[in-house]
Amino acid sequence: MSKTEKIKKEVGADTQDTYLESKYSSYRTKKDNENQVENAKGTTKRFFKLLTPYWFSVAIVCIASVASTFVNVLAPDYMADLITSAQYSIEDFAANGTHINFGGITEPGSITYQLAVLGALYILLGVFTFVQQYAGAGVTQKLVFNLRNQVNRKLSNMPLSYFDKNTKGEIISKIVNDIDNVSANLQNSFLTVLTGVIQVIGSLVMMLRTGNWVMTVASIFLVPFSGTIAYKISKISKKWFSRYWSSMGAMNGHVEEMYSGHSLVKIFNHENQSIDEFRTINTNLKNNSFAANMIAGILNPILTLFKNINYVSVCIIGGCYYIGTWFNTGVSIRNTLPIGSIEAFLSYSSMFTTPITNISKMINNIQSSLASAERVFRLLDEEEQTPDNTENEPDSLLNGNVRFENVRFRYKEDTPLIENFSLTADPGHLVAIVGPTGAGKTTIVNLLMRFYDIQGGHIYLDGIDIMTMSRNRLRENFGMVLQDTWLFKGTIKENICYGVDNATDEQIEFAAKSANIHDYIMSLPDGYETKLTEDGANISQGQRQLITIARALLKDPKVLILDEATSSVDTRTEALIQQAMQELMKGRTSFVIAHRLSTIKNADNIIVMRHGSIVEQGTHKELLKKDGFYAKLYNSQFTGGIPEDIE
Amino acid sequence: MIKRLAKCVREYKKTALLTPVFVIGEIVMEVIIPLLMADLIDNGITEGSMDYVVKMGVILLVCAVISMFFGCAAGRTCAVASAGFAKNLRHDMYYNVQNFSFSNIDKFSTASIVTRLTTDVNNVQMAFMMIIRIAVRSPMMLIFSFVFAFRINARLSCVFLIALPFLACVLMLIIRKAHPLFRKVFKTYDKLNAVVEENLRGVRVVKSYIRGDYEIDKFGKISQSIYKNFTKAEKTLAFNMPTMQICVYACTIIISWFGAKLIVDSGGTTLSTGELMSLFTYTVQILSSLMMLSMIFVMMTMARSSGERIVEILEESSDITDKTTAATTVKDGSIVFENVDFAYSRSAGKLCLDNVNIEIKSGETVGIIGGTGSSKSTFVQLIPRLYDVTKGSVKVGGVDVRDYELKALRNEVAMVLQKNVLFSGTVRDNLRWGKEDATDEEIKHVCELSQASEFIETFPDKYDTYIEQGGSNVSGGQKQRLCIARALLKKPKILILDDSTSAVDTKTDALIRKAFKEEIPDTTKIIIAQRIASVQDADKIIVMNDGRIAACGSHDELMKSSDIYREVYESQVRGGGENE
Repeated sequence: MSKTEKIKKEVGADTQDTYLESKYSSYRTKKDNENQVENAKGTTKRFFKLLTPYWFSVAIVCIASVASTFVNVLAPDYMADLITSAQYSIEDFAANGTHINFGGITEPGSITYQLAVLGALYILLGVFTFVQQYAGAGVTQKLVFNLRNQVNRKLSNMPLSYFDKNTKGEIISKIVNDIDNVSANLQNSFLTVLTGVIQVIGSLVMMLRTGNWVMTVASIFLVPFSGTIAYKISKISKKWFSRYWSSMGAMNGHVEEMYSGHSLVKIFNHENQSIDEFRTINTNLKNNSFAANMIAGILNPILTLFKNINYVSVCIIGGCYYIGTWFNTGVSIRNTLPIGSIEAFLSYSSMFTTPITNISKMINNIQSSLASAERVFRLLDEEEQTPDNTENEPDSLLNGNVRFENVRFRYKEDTPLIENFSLTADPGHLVAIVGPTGAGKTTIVNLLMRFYDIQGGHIYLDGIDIMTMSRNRLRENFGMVLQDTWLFKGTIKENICYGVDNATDEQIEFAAKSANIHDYIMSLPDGYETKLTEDGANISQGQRQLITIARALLKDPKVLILDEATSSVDTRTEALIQQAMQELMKGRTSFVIAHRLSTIKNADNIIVMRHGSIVEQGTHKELLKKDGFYAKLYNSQFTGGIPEDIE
Repeated sequence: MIKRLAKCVREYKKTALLTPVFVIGEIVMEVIIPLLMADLIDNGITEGSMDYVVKMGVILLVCAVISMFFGCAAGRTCAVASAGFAKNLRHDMYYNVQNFSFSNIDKFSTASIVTRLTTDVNNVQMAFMMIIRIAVRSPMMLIFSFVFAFRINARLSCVFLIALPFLACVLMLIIRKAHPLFRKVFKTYDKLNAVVEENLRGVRVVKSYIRGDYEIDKFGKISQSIYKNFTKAEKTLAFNMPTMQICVYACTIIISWFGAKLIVDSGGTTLSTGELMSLFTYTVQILSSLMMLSMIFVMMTMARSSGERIVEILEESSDITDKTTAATTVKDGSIVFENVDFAYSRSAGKLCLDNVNIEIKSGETVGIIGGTGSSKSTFVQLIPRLYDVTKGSVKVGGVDVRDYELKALRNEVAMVLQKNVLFSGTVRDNLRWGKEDATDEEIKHVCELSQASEFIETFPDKYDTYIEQGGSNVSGGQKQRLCIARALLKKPKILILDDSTSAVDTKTDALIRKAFKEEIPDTTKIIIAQRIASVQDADKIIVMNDGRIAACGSHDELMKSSDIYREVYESQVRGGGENE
């Protein structure tokens, strides 16, 4: 049994494809339910509302489209007259041997006049088309631009829980793919539908105006068929394309995992298995790509066939009218047609049919852009973080006296986490939070920084309830170094002075020196101007952490939060950082989360967390005396021995 | 570049070549239809011969059906060939990527590999479809329509000789102006993506440094640049349709004027009404073919950069290869470094390892201690030959690592990396990387050794627990323990732990080491650590400093002889013990 078969069996998936696709489903950029619109009417309405600021441009686009379509519909009629005139002249010539006069341009009814009118119509058409396209281009892009900025601004007002709940991929997909999807189809579908409707009505009116309903029917009787076929085939093709995208997502996921774990693949000699899995996804992708493209590819030939059948039938029936008898049966037709009108009917037939098939082809696209718009709107409607309350807004930075009073907080309503938690930290105090992984140590920080809002009790900063000041004012007082180092694309200097706009080079260097990273930076060819790649991959984890520490040092905050900040720095460097930190922590309130207990022994207050709640609290000495959980943890770490019964 | 890409068509060559044949068939039909139509009008309708009309009508229908069949056949072969071609491209790329050595890997980021395999291949596939279908269709259509138009009336058709170059020039101008703008827009899109991703990753940092407005501005600027360039590009393109229309209509009017004159003058002998109508059809066909050609041109230039990026991967060759007379078995776990120098790139002046000499006996436990940038990781990466030495030699089991078959060597050297990678799949799937056909008992056993079983057992699905992408649903310490278990399952002769217990608490760390000692005494164990406690009881401790071995010996020896070691030890113990 091959490995893939085994996986299949274990997961119980029907086929390898579905297994792999569900395995990598989180990588999918386009989801299965892509085309499902819950509230099509509301979304459309809201969408048109977005257009209102551009009503002037929109009006111009609309007027230009209507005008160009109108001209377009009129033109064949003039063409018909022209051709009829030409034909009459031939007949005249045959009968009498006389040439008809082309006539002057001012002579209505003459060939010259007709051509002049036609020329004028065509020039108008060109102008209107240009205006429509030119004005339209601005509107769509402006709308997308505003929508995108709106979404981005919305994101910055979302509570942190939103980011914890939704994956990065989902959010990026909304801000990039969905908005793109709206814009890509927006102008196209809107204009297609608008001009299409006018063209259909116009050509129908023009046909009926001739009073010849038989010819009218002959011109359009195939439309229901071609329309339905266009709609059906596009729908099937769309379905295959969405399958194609989902296997593309699977490929994306597979490659991302295998490539980022390349060393592992090498070390475990796993190349063949990885190629096997890739081959399955690749074949699947090929099949979907084939089906999607083939179905899309045969649509046009089929529609052309319909068009040709239509042409022939118009010609034949038109021929009957021209000759004046039904298929040589001798049944005469009174209402005969001039030759030019046959050409006109041919034009009208295509004018009537083309927009209908185009719209049918487009319905699926419209649906998917509506669905995208709906997702974007839904994001815009998400509940924002509670607005800032500024009743006790402090004027300047505070001293850093932190007090938790009977604080209660739960991520999930039914799992108690922090209940009745109280703590006081005076300026300059060091508070350590210790405990095993997953004990909820970071939660305290989340509450203090108001990443999450407490559900009961109060947190005071210098006696001011933090709920009564703006978040920005509150956060100004904090400096934070996290376990996850976050560096952005830019120079080292830019990364260090992230929090302070007007930092001088001396200040930056001083901060770097304090964080023991200055020498390293100077050893780089470009020094402080060294460009970091997207996730700072070109320098080591430890060095990255030192840069984020320098960043926090530069901000010179009143309250310092270190969330396992030194976990990826080696002990020697850590010792040096510790020295700098001791210096830095003077006069500041510090919250330190650490799993190496040796680093926080001299803390003023140690909070011991376990299974999401606080089990002990006190100074190192007190806690040791207590001989509880902390004492066990501490002893095991310090001696490096193996205590019998922890946990 | 095209040559290299064309190589990947392989088994789809026949279908790929068949497509243009079908396309030509389709075009011939499409060109004949207007001709027949003219005949139908002239000889049937205007002559009043209904029989002729019906006969021609039937022939026309047959032609239409044949045209459709050719069209569908072309659609099919085109889809087969292009999908197959894309499949081959991806396959070849991925195959080559699997052979990449680490110096190759350092060249391409994950994101760039993913884009090359997906978006770039997609672009090339589209271009390929264009080439075999539309790139054949448009010029053919242009030529056929032109020929037939000339056959109807050469003098009237001279109009096209003026209209075509005019339209071509205008289109060229538009493309030259719009194309760079579009390229700029696509580049900016990448930037937009990057900024959004960066912000999502660092949402806490952005908030705590109160940089929300700054980030909004940053985003706004990029978004603004997309808006500006896009609008400019689209406004340039706005000239496209009207120009096309003007050309078509100008031709129509000129043909009408002279055509009508001709008809009138000759009484329908040199040009008939039906023929005039066919000329109108050809006008549209000729000019729209040119328009299509210009679009293809744009698509092709876009695909070109994608093609180049694909070829880059295809032609990247691995610099670590097996010798033909490679050894296939590793005798034991002894390791010797002889005068080893190493630099990541040959041009870089600074050596990462500088004249390193060390001898490790099979079954020994060796600890490695050193500061950031002291090349600890580099040192161990030479053992499974992830990189080749610049000078000197590394021997495993008495044989130079370059003389082993890579597979055989890596089978015996297990390494737990600093960056712990788990793959999406169950715990069991992940562990089986170490041994494909491992039994449940074996898996359980190694998990007990690595102290992973205690938390696996607390999962509701135990060993069938699904690990999310990147192992995001297990903690750092749990990840490390799983990675150790995975390495143990290989039953290697050499086990390397590169700072692999940093997130594991000291107690568990000690338990793991104890298990190593008792359960795998014959395996050479190399442990890179930051805590002295993790290496204190090793047979040998190597102290690395700035790419050199500063000292080597047992804990007691080093306490006496090595200043660096003593300094580290004291800093750790002081941190832990004093101040009582």
